[in-house]
Amino acid sequence: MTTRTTSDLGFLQVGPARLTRGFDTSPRVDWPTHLSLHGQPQALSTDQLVALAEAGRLHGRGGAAFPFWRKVKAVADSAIRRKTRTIVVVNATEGEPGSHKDKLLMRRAPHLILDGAAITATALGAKEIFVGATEDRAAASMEQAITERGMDTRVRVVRLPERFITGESGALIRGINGHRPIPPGRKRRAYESGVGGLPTMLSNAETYAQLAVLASLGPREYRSVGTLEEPGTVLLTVTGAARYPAVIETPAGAPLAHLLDLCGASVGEGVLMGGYHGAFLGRAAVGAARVSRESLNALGATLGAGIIMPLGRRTCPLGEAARVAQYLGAESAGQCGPCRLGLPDIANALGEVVAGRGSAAALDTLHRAVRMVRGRGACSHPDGVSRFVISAIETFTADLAAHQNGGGCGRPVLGLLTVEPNPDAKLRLEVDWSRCDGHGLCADILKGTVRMDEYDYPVIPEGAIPLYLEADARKAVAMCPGLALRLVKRQ
Amino acid sequence: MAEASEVRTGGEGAGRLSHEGTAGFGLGLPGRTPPAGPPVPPPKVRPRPSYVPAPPARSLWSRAAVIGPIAAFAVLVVGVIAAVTLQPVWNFMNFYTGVFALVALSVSVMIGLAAADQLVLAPRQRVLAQAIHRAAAFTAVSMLVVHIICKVVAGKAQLIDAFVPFLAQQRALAVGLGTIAAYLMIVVTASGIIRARFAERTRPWLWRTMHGVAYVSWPVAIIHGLDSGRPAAGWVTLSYIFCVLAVGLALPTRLITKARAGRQK
Repeated sequence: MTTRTTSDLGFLQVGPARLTRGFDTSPRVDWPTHLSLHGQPQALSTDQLVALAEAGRLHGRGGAAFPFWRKVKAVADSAIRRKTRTIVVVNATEGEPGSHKDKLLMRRAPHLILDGAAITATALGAKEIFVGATEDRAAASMEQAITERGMDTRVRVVRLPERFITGESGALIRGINGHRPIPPGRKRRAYESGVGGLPTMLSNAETYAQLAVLASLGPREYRSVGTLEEPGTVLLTVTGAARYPAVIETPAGAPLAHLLDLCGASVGEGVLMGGYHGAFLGRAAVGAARVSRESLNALGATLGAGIIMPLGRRTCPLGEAARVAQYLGAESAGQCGPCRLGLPDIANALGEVVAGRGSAAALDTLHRAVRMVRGRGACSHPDGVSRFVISAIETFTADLAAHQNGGGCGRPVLGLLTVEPNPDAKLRLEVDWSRCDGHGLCADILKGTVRMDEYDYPVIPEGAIPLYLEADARKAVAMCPGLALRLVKRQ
Repeated sequence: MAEASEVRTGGEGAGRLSHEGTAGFGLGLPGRTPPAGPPVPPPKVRPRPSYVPAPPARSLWSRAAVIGPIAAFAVLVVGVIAAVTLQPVWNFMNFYTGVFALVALSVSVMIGLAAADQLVLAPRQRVLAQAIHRAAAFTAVSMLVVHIICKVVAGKAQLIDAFVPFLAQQRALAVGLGTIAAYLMIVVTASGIIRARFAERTRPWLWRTMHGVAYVSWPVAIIHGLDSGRPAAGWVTLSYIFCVLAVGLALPTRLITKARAGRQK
């Protein structure tokens, strides 16, 4: 159950090496090596960049898959309309515990990312490039690369705390602007007003690396692998039950089952695609799946940021999902009511289902809470969590039945879907049951987190109290009429 | 592709992207695609504060423990200055802070009792009642401090009377009861402030005893209030008697129902 770091992961390559060119010979592609491998990138005008990105069908690789050229156009139009300059942001924050591809790129091929960012910044006449990073080694490698090519005055690495929602574009921009990196309460379009209020071109690190490859190879060569609609390669991170977890570069459209075989992963109960805002594929679907957005969307899943987490046969799939749901609830910034109250409700309900306590009622609560949170937040976190939980319930029907009939499936929860709880959240609530008279003040103060059971006694969550709830938790402790509630250090 | 051709057309009167093709990012070799426009010196980059995570927020209560005394001191300083300069302010402080302290104490005791009870109020109202209870207690203690200072300054009591009971030249008993009530109020308030710590300790009954001193302090304060100063109006005396009787009934009721609930569970 230990958390996995990028260093623990292997690296595999299927088909031509593009982003990962030179990885076989050098641990880190430095500036001279990079120049000999990829050549010096050329400056493009905005029109040329738009045409190039469209010819290469370049889409964002951070999960949303927005067409790159359209974003460039929007930023350019906004800058012309407002008569301002622009900013380029490289999103390499990668807060998803199941994703390591951007960290790997930053560590081993930082110049490819910088090439793409520099091409974009040149075309857009940008003032500065910002690289948002969370991991030490990745950030250090990137800083070294910036120095190697003498771009210190125009490119800056911004270190941010590694949390699930840090990578949300609005959160990242807030972080770069020196505020707390949480999504802004109202949607702000980065291309209209981003870093320092300027039109901001924000894309994922791999996207810029792909752009650099596309610019270096030309559209024709770039499209020689991959599918018609999704040419080129994709970077995937395969973890979960894989015996040899790895970051893989493969042409888009490669069969998923083959890639899983390469990593020594058995499908077992299913595979989580697209990370913790994604969806599960059942065993039958995995056989038909190819790693392209088109194929996966048709199967009701998503490629997202290329996160692939096979579950195998030895772990309880619903238990894994419940554990992740708990983590995702704690990762809420706590600023939007439906998300703050709804996600813990969803996680607790799924926990009850797994424990076989009042399954029908718990499932009801779960569906009700999902309906309540969907589309009701500053960012897509509640929507993503809803999709994840509903997909778990709909995919693992056999496991659900086993848990609903009491008894459960008899398998342990191995923690294959890794979570990285916030290290700052150190406190959890504890009840002295001999003192508790079931007054219910704690349930009122900590709505959504503590609820009263049918005997009118509080049900206290086992995990750490999220940071945003600590003040409320202290208030509940201070107000407990029975002096029965306390905050203790999480062990 | 069709859409791509719709992208702005560079120089046809439409606005132009400033610094397009800037040389600032080291692209383009000499003799190959030249950057559009003359090379530009790098713009002045102002240092941007990068985000530093704040330490976890302190709880409301620990913040109140810091801000409260500072605020009280500030109010005291401003009050003393105002009192010396303004006659009406002085009159209020001299004649009414004691009254307000007693009224706030009464409110605090009664609402505190209601907040602790499961019979009358729902959990949500009990949370609110606790907040009012605390606010009233804070008001009572603040008023008490001003009241004592004013009476000493006005020469109605000696400095020593504020600390040692029953030494006053006039109405030694009534003034002395005030001193005792004040001590007890401070014990009760202090126990309220450190309440959360008893959740972690093994002796909740110790806290209940300390805080229960309020039921002694309050009647003593009422006797002091009715007897030591100006003669109280009839309705005022009656109101206090009514309040004491109400609490006198509510308190045993609560203890009995609580004991019964405890036996059932």
